[in-house]
Amino acid sequence: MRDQAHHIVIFDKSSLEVERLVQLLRDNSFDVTVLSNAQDAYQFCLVSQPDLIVFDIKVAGKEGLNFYRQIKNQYSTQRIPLILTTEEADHNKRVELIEMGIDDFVAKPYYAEEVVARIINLFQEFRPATFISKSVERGFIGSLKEMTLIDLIQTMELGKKSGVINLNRGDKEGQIYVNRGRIVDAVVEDYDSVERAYLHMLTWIDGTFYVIFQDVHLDSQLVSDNQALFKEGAKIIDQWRRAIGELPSLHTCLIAVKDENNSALSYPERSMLAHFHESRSILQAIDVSDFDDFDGLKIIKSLLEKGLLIKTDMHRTEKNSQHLALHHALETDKRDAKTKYSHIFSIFQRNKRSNADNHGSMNDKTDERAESLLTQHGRIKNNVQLTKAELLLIRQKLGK
Amino acid sequence: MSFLSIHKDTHRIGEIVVAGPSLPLQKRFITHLCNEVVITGNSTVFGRSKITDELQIFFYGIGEKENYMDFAWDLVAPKMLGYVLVYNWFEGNSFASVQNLLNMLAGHTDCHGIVVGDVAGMPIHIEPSVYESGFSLSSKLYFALWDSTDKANAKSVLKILIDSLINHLE
Repeated sequence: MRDQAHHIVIFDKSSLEVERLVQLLRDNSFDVTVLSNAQDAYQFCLVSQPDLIVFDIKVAGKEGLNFYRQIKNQYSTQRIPLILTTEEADHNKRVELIEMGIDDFVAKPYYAEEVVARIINLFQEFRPATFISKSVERGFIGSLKEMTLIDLIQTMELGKKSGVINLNRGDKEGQIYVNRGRIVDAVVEDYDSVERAYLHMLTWIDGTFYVIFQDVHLDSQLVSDNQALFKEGAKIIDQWRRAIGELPSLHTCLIAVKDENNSALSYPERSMLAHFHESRSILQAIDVSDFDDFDGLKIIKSLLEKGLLIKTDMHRTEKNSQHLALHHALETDKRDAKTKYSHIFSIFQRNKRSNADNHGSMNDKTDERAESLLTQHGRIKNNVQLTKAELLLIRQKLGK
Repeated sequence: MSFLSIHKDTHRIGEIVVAGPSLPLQKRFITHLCNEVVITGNSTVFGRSKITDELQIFFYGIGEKENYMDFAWDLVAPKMLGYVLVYNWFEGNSFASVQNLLNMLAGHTDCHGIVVGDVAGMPIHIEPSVYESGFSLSSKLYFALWDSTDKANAKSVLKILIDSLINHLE
């Protein structure tokens, strides 16, 4: 039994086939919403964040394809598993669809029972631990202290890679979208302009990132090219590092000292001080103020020097610690897997020795000769030769 | 070997090694999954399973212990989809032999693999779900029970291996 009903969105035109599927899903305790308009379906998915989407790409012609792209390009929806129902019978076309990022497909006309079985299967695949590993396996994860945003973008530019750079500062997160090595979009809370969002995230020199490689179907929202952005970015990072040099950690919480004699302060200082009537981190205060990052930092520095701000005992708040949790989960997963594997391996090693004691010398020699064929090449790295699409086809056939 | 050469250049092929101390078991496993099976003179089984016109799986069954050393592990291990180690659940020697083989493969390759215990003839009833799920020994290694008299069981074993591969693929 599931703890909570999964919510499934079906984007398809109304038909007996769809009605049968909806009924069967509801019988299996799924919450189901059926929508037939692409824009409604997209908006609904944005708001409701369903657990899975079933859709027919041909249902609304070009709109169906746009719906798919919108879902895959939007950070908050791109990880929702997608099942495509299609009348497409051509093998190559199906492989193409899976390589586009479709998680599974079902040929039309379908048996509702088959679709339900696949949905259950997909939910098992996308259980949290697997999901975390999958996300990171398609990219990489790290600390912004070791690799700055500029380093990350330059790396993607070199390889002409496409994907999303997800950044987490501890209390805030943002995304940079890269298409074939070129920055095409930057998104962060409170910043409407793409340029400003990008420049703001350059100041995040303490935090984590993870990069997911994927197709990015976005036109560039930036006027400047990468080189201009790198030049500006390097300058900002350098200035920012110097500016924060004499300050406590930017996650340090400060509070205003009550002083009636504030009339000597400038308007910007009084304005910034007002944000510290309750305990706030330096970063949080800059975010809520009207000042840009550098001016905000300068004002806070001045207030600290004048003794009008003091540190509080509150620890840094991590409102959005998804990346840190992800990093932690990944490391734990790796550690556990390694420990389990080593444990199993050590059992077999002990057993091998005891077997060797019990068996004749011919068997030992055979083992040794076979083993030497592998050891002379060191540990052999295995690269699976088939694509995910081909493996899915194999699994589909086995499922029949 | 002509069987391999006919198809290898014109199709996408996934290769799976089926090994263990008993060739008849490997043969049965491969037969349950393949459209074509060829047994060579040196106690090796080749099987071919056609997934689509363009995509096939090749199974290399190596049964006798002496054949492990003749098998080109160094050539196959870097590119194979994975290995299936089959043993007789009721025989101690069979189990010990698979332990040694697993030790060798897991120690020197990072391939995906599944260890399969044949429980055909088990006097108690085993629920179908037990065959279908298996369990994970490490991120790339699974264990499953197999009833060698039931064709569907071999499919379940292969499905576990393929699922493991899909979950790890970039």
